[in-house]
Amino acid sequence: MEQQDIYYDSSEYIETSSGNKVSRTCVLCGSQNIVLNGKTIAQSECVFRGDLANINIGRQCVLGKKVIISPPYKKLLSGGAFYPLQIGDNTIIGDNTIINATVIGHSVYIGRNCVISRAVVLKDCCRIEDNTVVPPETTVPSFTVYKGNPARYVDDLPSCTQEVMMEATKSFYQHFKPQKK
Amino acid sequence: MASIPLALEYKRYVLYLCRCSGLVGIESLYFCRHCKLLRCMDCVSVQIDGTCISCPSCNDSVPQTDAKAKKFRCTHCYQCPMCTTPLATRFVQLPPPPGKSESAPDTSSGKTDASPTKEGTGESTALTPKTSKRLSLTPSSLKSPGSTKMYYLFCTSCHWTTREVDIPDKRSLLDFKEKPHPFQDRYKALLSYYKDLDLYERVSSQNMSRQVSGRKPRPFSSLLDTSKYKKDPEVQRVVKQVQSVALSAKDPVRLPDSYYTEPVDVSSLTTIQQKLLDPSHQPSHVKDLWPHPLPLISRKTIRCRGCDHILLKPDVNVNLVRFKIQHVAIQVVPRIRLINVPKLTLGEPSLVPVSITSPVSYSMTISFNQLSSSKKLKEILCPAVIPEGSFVLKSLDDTSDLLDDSSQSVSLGADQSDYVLSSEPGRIVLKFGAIPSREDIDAKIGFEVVFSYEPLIEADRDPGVTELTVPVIINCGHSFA
Repeated sequence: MEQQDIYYDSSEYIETSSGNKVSRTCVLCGSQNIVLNGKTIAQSECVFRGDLANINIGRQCVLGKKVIISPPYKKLLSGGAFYPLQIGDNTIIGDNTIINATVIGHSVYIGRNCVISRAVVLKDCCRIEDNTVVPPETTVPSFTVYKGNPARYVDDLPSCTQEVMMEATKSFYQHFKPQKK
Repeated sequence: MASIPLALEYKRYVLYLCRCSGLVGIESLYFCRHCKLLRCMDCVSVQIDGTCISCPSCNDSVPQTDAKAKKFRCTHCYQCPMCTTPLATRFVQLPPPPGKSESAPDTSSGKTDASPTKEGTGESTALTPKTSKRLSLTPSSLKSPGSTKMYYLFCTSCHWTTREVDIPDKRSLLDFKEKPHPFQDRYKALLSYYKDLDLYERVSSQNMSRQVSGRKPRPFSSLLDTSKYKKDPEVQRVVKQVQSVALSAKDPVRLPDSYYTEPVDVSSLTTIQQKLLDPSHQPSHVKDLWPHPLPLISRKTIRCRGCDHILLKPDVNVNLVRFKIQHVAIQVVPRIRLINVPKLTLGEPSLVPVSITSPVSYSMTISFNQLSSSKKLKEILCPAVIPEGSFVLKSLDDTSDLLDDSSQSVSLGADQSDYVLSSEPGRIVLKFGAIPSREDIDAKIGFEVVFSYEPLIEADRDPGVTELTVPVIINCGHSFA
């Protein structure tokens, strides 16, 4: 199905010079540690915990509503520390999802109501289905689909996943338009 | 308002009909540029690429010979026998023994917590709430050179540990071995016996061939004659052994009395899935569970079944998602999408707007034919109104993203304007029609897309423009009376 036009209230979103569109209802803690590389859409009520560690989000990502992005915590001999969180290009994160991973690769699809637990590594071109809980310290390989609680391998993705994701995120950005007055 | 792209929803509205009568999405189709045919996963040959075998957890690439020797399982990573999640490593740091006369704390049978220890996660060190109350050591004493690390495995999902089943902590991850099989020695003995038998047969057949080299070759049926083996004293000995075992199995297995008298504790029993994870042991009780080495994964090389040319070959580096060879349909075949779910009325022609996008860098000519479908397909398809004539999809400029939309409009001929809703370089929106005939099923229309294909690689056998055909079926949704 062709992507439909999505009209947003222009007073609700802030558009940066690099094309990022961030809702005014988002909570950005430690904004100096949050990097959005361009053309990324952060929809309403997202939370970015940049006060804990650096958050780097790639180009043309789509973050759904009420997404919580928090850097992972790791216990050390001297106490503990928060590690930076890296999200690659063309990644889509569904509504109400909690991200506590270390690395999320590019062209990754994460469904709605998911929990990506501490120190998880999602490799490039993988898919996490809706309502999935990925246990801590898990690595999800490329071209795989994980589903369930705890997340288990269920299927393979086609080899052209990267092209499909690039097209989908680009199309979504083009159709995400301000409401005409 | 949809908050994520619709293109990634699982419901497929447009399906392509493969030669093998399979209906698949365009992402799952491969294109053989030698046969000039589309092939789905059911009509290609798949082979495991020996250079791309790796562990899904630690990402270590394993050579094929090593992987085969280790039964295609990782030597470092294990999966939980309860929930199949990859197990995490935890370690306990034991302080150096105060004197050589005093032995190190006993770590067998999971008693490490009682000794002054510190627990950690992988490379780092962390105190668990359970053990932190009992610790009195300072970090400096733990860093002393004599201290040793003892590892155990821990499931981060269900919190199962190797200590629960009385597996002692190990000095290295490599020390965690697979549970020894009760019939392991018997298997080894049988394997060595059959290897010897194989060698014996080869040598004897070579001797025979030398003797009868001048004679007429024996018929193939003589190879199937097993009467010669029955005379062999060694074979007779094995047959007797097998018969004795078979006779003893006639005695019925009696269940213990406790099976009938004591109440069943379901929580201590394993599920069928847990049993089948370990087919050689099939543990009945939770206390018999053992960590399983994680199975390795491999990428696949895909070949055309007709001409045996490679359609997909992954890169040697398992961490990269690129391919050495990739011939997929999405690079060649025009992408057909439904613009929106149309409102259909039973028995009346309804407008179905469809967009066609060209993925190629040359001008593509497309036309549509009625689908010469089988009887089975005719039952599910409803009559369709298909645009007549041919349409030209101009090549998409790579810089089109930077240009203004107004500069991209394309002029159309008078005959084409009846069917065209909008047009731009590389994309055209056409009017199709559906006449739903049944209310109980979704209205589906089918047609053939004929498109021009221009091979870009000079090595191709037939350079020049050729016409290819692909059948397409569109699900237009439910109709109402």
